Amino acid sequence: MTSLEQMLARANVLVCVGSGGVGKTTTSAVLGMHAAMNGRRTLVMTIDPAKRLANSLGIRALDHDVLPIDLRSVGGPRETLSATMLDMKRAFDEIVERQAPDPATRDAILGNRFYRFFSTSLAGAQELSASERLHDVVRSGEFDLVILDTPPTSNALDFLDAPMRFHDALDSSVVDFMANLGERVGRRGLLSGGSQLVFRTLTRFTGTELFTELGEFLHHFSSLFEGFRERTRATAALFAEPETRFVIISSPKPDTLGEARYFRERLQQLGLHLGGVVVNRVHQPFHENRFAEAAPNTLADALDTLEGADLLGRPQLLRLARKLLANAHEFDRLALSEATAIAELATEFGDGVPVLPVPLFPSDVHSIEGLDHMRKAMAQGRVSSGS
Amino acid sequence: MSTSRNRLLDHRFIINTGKGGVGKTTLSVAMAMAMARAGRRVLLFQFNVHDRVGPIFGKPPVGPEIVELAPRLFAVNTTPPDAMREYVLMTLRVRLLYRAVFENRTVARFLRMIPGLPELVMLGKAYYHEGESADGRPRFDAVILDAPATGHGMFLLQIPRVISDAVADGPMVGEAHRMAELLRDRQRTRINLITLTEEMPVNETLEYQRRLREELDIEPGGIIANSVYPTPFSATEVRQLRDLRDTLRIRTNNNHDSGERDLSSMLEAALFRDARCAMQKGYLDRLEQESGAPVIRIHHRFEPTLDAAALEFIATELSSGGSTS
Repeated sequence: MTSLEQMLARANVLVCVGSGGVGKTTTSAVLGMHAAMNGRRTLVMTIDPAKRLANSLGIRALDHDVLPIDLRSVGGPRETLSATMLDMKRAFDEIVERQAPDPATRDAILGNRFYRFFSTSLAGAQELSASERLHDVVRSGEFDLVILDTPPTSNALDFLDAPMRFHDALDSSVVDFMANLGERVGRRGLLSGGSQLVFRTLTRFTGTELFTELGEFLHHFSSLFEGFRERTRATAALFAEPETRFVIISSPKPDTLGEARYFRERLQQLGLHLGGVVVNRVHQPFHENRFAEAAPNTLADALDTLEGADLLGRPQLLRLARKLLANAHEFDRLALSEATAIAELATEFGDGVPVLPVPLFPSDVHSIEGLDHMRKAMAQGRVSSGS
Repeated sequence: MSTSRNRLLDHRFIINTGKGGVGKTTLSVAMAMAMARAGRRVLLFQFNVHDRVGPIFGKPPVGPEIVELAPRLFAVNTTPPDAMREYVLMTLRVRLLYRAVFENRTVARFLRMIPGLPELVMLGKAYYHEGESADGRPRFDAVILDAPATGHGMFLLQIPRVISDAVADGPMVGEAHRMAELLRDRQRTRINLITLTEEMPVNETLEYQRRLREELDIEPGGIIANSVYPTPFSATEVRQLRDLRDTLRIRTNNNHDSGERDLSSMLEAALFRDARCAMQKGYLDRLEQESGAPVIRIHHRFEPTLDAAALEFIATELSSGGSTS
């Protein structure tokens, strides 16, 4: 079995995590493509801002709806792959619409000028929306495999902690505090000495208007909390299922690989399942190349045996040879340290966790053909027997 | 100090911004090194990160206290609560009152919910250090901000949201206006958009620049394209290499000599390098055309990890205003 097959085989949900700039979106698309090529009904879910998946799939617009991706141009099926982009604002709107106790509260929340901030920018809001949508899609039963490309974070671990932080931020003590203050401020003079001090001091920074309006918003918003908690529990249960696997997407840089280690520990602590590691943009080695350590003269001699080389003079051939060697050395230097770091990680993670290096390509991947090329390169990696 | 040749390091307040993974921290450190080397006292300002900068200088990770990592090179890693505390203490001047009000857990949580406030107080702290004096002269000659990559790198855009979305009046609005003014002050402030020469970072950089112009009326000082491959092969050489590769291909189809395979992979590596260079050139051209801003190039380094020595190279590159090839 190839590493890629192993990564996909046991999963019906793959959560792709990793820090920014490691090719998370592209890799999610390739994983989805491979499963879809093998006939599994697959959905790739990505996060809106940069329209990244749309870029990767070479289609102009991808919206909140589920769109089929036709793979016939690369010899695949027409209908097994679908993609959707998570529009944070809209996903959160849907949560509010579903969970608001009555239309008046719903409108009060959606119409409040604080709402946009709460639904998109408050720590954890994006992850909450993403998990919620994932949960819905998985439970719909329309797909054999759902791949979630997680929101861009500077740290892969953020995704696991985010819902917790959101709840923490919205702890009911804050809401009670605001509601109390707001109510008593309405009836001037009824504030106790302590509360009055707090109120006066805070409003020196925020102004009174912000205070009362935010209080009002929180009062309405708090009617959703019980629903949030319930859904978070449901999503947590989905994440813990053995068929839900986390795939770490990494670059071959030592510090990014270090993060993968840390992430694996966190998954183990939380009882979640690691499906594998994809290491993107790995440089190819030259140390086994007989010319790598050769003198420029030797390489120039070898070039000289080629047809057409006679058109170039010896000085030209030598200059080319020197540059070729310098180029190979530069790549080899990176390749060696990357290969060592990846091998160490693979040994440490053991046989159950495929670690799949993907070469750096001569050009970036942002078309269906490019994704298929990357897919084929990934499909070549075999799971090593033994450690 | 100031020369027209290199405006990159002339400002007192430098904000390095861009999406995650483009090398903001690396370039910020290298900039600080270049300035410190030139005799300026410089403060590297980070936002609530898992610090990697201290260890580069053989020191512990940088925390919320200002530390001197190398001669004239200072660093701090602030958090919203730290910045809030300093800001409030400066305004209130009563420590007891601060403790009573702001150290209350509920109040602290409430403050986190005010849109833009954490960004505002952290930026405020950075500007405070820019104007700070010690012994009758400025404490620092320059402050370099390694802006957070959160919110899709749109950190600065959070500031006006305070005004437009959330707060109608009060001191925060005044502060937000003051910050927006400082960001627009091109004598003091320079905003660098840092990017890689790849599809998505380039798209996002252009989008960010457009939004800075439209929403904040800010003209970034320039774009820094990081990690650009040096191009060792001339166009003529690339043609020669391609011809040689093609004749070799015809030959190796008939016999599988490992020597020829090795020779072929040397040639392929060169052409691979050239393909990546050409791709990067395309993105550099696009950045220049669509941004209308100067694009500074910093070369890719082939060291596996960027240690102090590698950063010195980048610092030198920055001192001379980047590569212009």
